[in-house]
Amino acid sequence: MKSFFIKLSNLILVVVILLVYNNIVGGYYANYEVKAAKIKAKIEAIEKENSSKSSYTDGNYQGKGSGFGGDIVVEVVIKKGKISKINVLSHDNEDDAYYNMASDVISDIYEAQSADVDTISGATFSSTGIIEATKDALSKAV
Amino acid sequence: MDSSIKNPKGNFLKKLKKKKAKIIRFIIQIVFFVTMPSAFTSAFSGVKYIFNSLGAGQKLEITSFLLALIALCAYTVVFGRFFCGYACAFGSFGDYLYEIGQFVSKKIKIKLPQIPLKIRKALDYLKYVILIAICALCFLKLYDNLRGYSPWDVFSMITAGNFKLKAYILGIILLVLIIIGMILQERFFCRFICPMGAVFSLLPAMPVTALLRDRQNCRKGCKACLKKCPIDLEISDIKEKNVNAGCIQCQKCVNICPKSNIKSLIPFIKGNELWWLISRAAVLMALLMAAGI
Repeated sequence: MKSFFIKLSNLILVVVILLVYNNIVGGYYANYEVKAAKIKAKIEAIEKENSSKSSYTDGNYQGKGSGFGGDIVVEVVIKKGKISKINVLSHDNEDDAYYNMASDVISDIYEAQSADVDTISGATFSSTGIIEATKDALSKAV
Repeated sequence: MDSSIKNPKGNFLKKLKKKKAKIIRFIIQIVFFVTMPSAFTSAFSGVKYIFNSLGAGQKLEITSFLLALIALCAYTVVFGRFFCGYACAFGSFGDYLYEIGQFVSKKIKIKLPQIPLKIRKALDYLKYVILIAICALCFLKLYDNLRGYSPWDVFSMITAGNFKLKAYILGIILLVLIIIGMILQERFFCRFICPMGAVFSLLPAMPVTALLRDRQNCRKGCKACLKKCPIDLEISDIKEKNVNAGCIQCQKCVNICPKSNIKSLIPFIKGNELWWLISRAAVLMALLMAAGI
């Protein structure tokens, strides 16, 4: 019984430390996000001025990349020279938990308007597959 | 005359009854192996995620990995390491290899070499070293450089049907070494190496569902449970209520005990009852599904 209580207090300690950590970091980030939003707005304003050099040809393009358990196929929709939609057509062999994490990368691609984005850590395989497939599709859109 | 000779069918049924718990375990393991082959890696990805985030100074978000980790840890606190014994795909994989190895060695009448008990007892601590090492590597952001080293990744890629394993030479070598260990020693990986098992061992498992025995009632000199135990654990007395952190709830000791002397603290429940096994597996299945695995 003694070891049970030692382990229990250790577990509580670990959970409390993580919660406190999250609160501190969360507060710090809230501050940071306000600043980041201002910078982002500035960048967007500059980008709008330069947007005349739109890069992609309108249309639907398909691309393939290899994920965790096999190929991932995506369809990229280009409208007005911009990436307007990415549909994942098949991800049959991806593990669901990993795939759900990895699909966050799609919103990163929208934001960056490019497939040069970082992979999702923890779901490296699946997100690399999506990025590769998008790059493959975009290469046809140039 | 022996009734079993008169009635071979009765003998078969008797044998079947004796093996009931073993068969149920086999079925539960197969079901989890097919439906949730990646539960163990998802949960351990949760541990890696925590240390990655701590190292990068990032806020922890509730991801599906973290949910899987929390779900499995909560389950283990209540039911002990039932997940390890009945649901983990890698544990089941080891059980199959060991059983095949034993079967073949009996057929060809060659005894497989065994790891001496003293070394086994010492190796039990290796998993904690591995856990600490992986956590430290994640914290220092060095873990991603080791892509291709993990035998777990190789195993789960193969079970997912992916054979593009070029970049995983070291992982494959490690997996082969572990497979050899699994054939020679029951639960080789779970006992000595598994970092998730190390996490589970550090959790405060409640003594309610742990297996205990009334030592006064034991036959003198009987060591059937100790001999059957894949982890070489000595079951503690019902008065001490010590939980063996290594116990994977395989129920082999409960099945073998000639005096039915091993039981949990819940009245009328020993541990190997059919309905109790199935309901624990069902709770686990529901929990893992809710966590999104």
